[in-house]
Amino acid sequence: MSVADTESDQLIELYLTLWWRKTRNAIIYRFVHRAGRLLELVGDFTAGDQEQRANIDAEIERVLTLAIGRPWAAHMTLRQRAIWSAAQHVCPDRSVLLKMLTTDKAIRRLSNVEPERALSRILKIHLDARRWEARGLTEHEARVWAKLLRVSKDLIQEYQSAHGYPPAPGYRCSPEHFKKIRLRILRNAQDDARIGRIKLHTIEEYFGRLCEECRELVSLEPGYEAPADGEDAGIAILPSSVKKAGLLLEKCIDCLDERLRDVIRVAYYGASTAAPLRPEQLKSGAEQCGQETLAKGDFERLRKEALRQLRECLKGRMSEAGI
Amino acid sequence: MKAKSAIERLLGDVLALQDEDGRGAELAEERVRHVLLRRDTFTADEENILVTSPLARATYAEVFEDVQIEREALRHRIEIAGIEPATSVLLAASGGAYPMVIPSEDFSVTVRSHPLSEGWVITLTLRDRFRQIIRSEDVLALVDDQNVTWLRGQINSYGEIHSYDWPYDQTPVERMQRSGFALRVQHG
Repeated sequence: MSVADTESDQLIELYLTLWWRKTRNAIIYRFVHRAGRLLELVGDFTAGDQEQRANIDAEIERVLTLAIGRPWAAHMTLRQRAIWSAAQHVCPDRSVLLKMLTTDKAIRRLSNVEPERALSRILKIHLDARRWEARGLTEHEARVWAKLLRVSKDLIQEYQSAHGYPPAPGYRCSPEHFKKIRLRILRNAQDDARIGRIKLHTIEEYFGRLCEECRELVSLEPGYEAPADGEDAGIAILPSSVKKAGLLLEKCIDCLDERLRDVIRVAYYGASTAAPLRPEQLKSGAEQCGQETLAKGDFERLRKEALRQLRECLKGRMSEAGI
Repeated sequence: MKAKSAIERLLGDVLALQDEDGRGAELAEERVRHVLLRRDTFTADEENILVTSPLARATYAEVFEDVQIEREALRHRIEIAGIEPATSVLLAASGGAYPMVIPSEDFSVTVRSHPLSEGWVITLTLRDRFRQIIRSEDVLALVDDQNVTWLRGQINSYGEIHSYDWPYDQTPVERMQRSGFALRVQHG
């Protein structure tokens, strides 16, 4: 085995262990990016319809192939190659995904949670489970889990003592609870060799795998949405230099056709300051001001098209600007 | 966190549509941590990855959240211990021979002449109570009431920080007769 092969194997192992979150997030981004048609199919799904089920299954396979099954490009770095190799070790199980997607309220558009967010969450849970299946539970991890569980129970007990009733269902599996666990560890056990330096998202992984309640919490309750799921969490806190992209984006808005520009103004700048969508673009019977002028689905489709065009424009402008 | 502006929300949604080809994995968490702790700045390549990769931004967001929690925990530990480093102004020295020691409840400052040169050695020593809540990675800065930093760094195994860089033209005796100090703790 060559040195390069050994290095590659080590990197793959790292992407399945220490750097697991990167692997998981990369798969999620690529999958969700290609899941528009899949979400439409599941949104229209009627329980018991075998043809629809077969179509969804085929679409899951197609998205998986596009997301992580493509041949390696020649220009990939060693790390890129390693992360996609690691991804194949935990390739989602189609039958499990099919069941999770078709029984999830948000994906089926039966709740207020955006389907993309719910899909991210489901993939996260499933991929964590796949990874744990592949690796099993080490003695160290079992001890870490025992300690995390103790801290969690203490916090929940304290909540109950303070309020006279237990926290809402799902609280144990919420980012808020994970954050409180991390804070408690930092305050009382920061020198603990097993959990003193544990990261917030590692805590979440343990609960996702080992807490029965969290494993079963497939559908998102709006109150306990993870803010980083399905949206670009980094943008709110990026260094100012990166936000230069915002200036370029403003120029891109001017390049949209008027219809899409109006949609962007209504969606992001508020209807009161945006030009109303023109009457000839309205559906009969629709109101004539702001977002209400179009059926919600039509408006959303136009918004997504505008975002897609803005992404292409921004990509070009960033390239020109050397960003 | 403050509310996002319209363009920030739009930029977030546009960037969220970017595809991920795995290049974001090149941005290591440790690098992000170093930048967030102001030990370094991003290189042009790293900034480029941040703008073009959702994975890199997710890494950034995760490390940012971890650092925020660690800062909150440090503030809490300091508060619980009853230490107020940002306002712990020492009484100015009334004069005397070197080494000069200015004590306080939580730490002391010693200034002595350098044994091998004409300069000065400033030493900050934390008391046990303070040492227990400070981690070796945390950065402490001793700042006088003119907002001039006398000393900055991480504590050694004895709970001390030494500085050989005297910031004034006057001698320490002259300066210490006029200055009070505050100790600032920066999570590291």
